[in-house]
Amino acid sequence: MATPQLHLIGEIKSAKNFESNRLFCKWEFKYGKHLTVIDGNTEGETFEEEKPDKETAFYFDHPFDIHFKVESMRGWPKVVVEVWEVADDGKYFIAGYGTGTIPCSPGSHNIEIKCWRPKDQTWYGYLRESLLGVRSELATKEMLLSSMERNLFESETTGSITVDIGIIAKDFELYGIKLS
Amino acid sequence: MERSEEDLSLGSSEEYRDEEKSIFTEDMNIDNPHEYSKHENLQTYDPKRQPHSFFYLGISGQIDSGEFYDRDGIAIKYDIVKGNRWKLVKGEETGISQHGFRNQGASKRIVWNFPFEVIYSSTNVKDWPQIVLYGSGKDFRGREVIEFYGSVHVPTSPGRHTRYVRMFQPVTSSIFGKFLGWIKGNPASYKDAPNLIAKGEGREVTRVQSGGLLKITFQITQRNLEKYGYKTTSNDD
Repeated sequence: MATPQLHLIGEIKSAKNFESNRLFCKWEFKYGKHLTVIDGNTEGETFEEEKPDKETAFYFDHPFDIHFKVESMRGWPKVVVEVWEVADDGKYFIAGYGTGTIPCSPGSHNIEIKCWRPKDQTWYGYLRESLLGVRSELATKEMLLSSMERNLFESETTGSITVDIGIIAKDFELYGIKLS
Repeated sequence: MERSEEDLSLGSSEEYRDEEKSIFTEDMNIDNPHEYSKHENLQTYDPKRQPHSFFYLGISGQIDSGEFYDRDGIAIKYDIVKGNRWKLVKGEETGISQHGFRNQGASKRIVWNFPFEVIYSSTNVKDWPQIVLYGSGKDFRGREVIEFYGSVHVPTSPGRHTRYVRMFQPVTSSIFGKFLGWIKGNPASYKDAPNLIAKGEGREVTRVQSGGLLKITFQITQRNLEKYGYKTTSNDD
């Protein structure tokens, strides 16, 4: 029988409410081991975008077109974004991490990913951030996808990323799976 | 009941009166009770027996308007880029609009109302069509210079969709390069542009600047996609 297939077609659209006016975004689709990528890039990095002062949002319009083979509904794709800002001297700082869930109904969707960044809890880290502008980053990114290990951790809310996504599903109903 | 060509034609314009057979004429047999059950559109989807023909995607719409900060007199060129399994049935895959100037008033909006209409056939939705847009202005010597680039995927679900497309400009890394570009009349631009813009690879460490925002309206029609098992919308019947 034909294996269910999933097409994710769209763009990493825009970024809003970030402080800096030079920004770029790394994005990656994470999925379980029962999903196989047949075609398309599941990760990428957008242009380094310079925002005119009058504008309120950054627009990336970074396209993706991914084709999955789906052998189980477990591990439905999620998109993980990492927003970096660029200081005037060319240094990169983390501006936010965020995870967005891909809807499991076919059609056109617009999802907004709210982002946060880790907040340093030590007085040394606080001093370093306020004087040198150095921000702490996540050493491992596994915690973005898990609900474990988040307690006793402090985060700071930053901006949000918008993703325009078109979902095309094939052959799911042959297995009795209703998606919409 | 006989259906004549005239009923199905979209207007009195010569362009719509094609000599070749309309896709609707194949459906004439639908009125014949013996043919009725055999008609392709009435078959239920069976993955073991793929239909022999294609599915069709109709993309029509227009490049409505845009705002380009302080720039004026911009023409928009569009290119539809798709995978090699998609075949063009009808329409123009590329076109270039007039040079639009904005109103004398305070509004910075430039209106083009530039229409496009294409029909594709395919058997696989892989490499879904994308529309690549270029904005070009005229320099002081009247030469056409492409300054802005942008791209967006054609919406995947049928219906009417509005898309806002950011038009970007590559930023030249050095001040000298900017000066040279100004002298020669060709600012930093891309070679092999449609693929580079549509693919989204190799975008890292390239600095770009937002040059403006375009508004595009799409009308999407789909035919026979569910015969291939594709579900593109959640509105179930």
